[in-house]
Amino acid sequence: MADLKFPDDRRYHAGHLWAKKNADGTWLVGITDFAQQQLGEVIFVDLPATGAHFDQGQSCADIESAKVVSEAILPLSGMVVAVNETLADSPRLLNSDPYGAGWLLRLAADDTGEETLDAAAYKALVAA
Amino acid sequence: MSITLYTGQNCNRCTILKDYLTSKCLAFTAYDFQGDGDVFSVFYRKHRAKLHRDSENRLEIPIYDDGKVVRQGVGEVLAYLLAGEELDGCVGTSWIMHGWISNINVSACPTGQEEHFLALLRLLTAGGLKVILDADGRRPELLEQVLNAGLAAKLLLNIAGPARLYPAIAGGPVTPGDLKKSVALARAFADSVIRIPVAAHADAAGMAARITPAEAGEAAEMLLAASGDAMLPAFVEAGPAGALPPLTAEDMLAYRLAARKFLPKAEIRKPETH
Repeated sequence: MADLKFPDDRRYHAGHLWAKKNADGTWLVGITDFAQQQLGEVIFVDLPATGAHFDQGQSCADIESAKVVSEAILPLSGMVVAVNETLADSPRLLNSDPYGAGWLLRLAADDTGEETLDAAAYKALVAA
Repeated sequence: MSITLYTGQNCNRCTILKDYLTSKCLAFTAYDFQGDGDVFSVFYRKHRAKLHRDSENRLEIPIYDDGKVVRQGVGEVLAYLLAGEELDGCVGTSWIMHGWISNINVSACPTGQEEHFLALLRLLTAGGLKVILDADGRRPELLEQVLNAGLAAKLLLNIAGPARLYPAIAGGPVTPGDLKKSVALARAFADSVIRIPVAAHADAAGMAARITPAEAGEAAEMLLAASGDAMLPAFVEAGPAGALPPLTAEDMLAYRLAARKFLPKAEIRKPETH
């Protein structure tokens, strides 16, 4: 736990994804440091198509490692406006930089993110 | 031909395969599927649709790639190396790990492939794996060879259905004489189960089908005739449903009832999961 990162500049969800609001109102979404550690080395990411709409709590992507296939559960409802194409050739970015270059998708959200968790609450959830 | 293996650490199945290739002077390059993630992820993206995961979503290793074919699982890879595609119908994906290997069907061994089949079992058992062997009543002579050579740790004798359905379900006909011999071998073997699996298969029209309770009863009648023992311990067991709805507990009671008309000690067996 001590070496896991929980940046304060974004919101979190019990499904172990984070969401960070951009200046243009869209939200960047990715997996947390805890999630990537649990997954092990990621070998494939199956991302949704742009234009797809998901409700909060729905799976929007499959993330595959050698030991597991994990669903990415969206922390917010909204429409996918962009996906991180780099992950096709470099899925391990989810491990090496989950909060930066390893982002999953950008969302035009329907809601405000009030039901998400701040960093402290998510950290407590993970520690429990 | 350039052989690449994707293997793991402390993987006995991987060691069995590497040792075999070495014994045949077949050069190969082995990558750790977790340690050499950059290499493996490139391979995985290309061949993902061909690869399978177990019931816990773990990728099965070793994985073999010779540039022409990709094979996964030590049984399937060795079968390919021994006999090309000839043993494909009798060696499938193992549903068990951790020192055991399954989904190897002696009754489905094609004529002329007996030595390759036995060689496969010898390689697996010499490497320390315990074989759960499937049989369906056909090829009792080969079954006897396997059991006498100590090449199986457990035997599942699967009565596929009534004799008239054997070609559709098992891939070939079974004779009363062969079934009788197979039942006798199973009863004499220390760790065997005689069962009537209720699994999805393709019917004459190519549609997904299952034997009915009445047909399970016919299979039980066939078992009674083959064993001459109304007290034969036998089981009905739900098999893979495929595209069909899964069988409920109530469904299985109907199958047991039908089987008990001929074998009063028939019971429902829970499918093994590992």
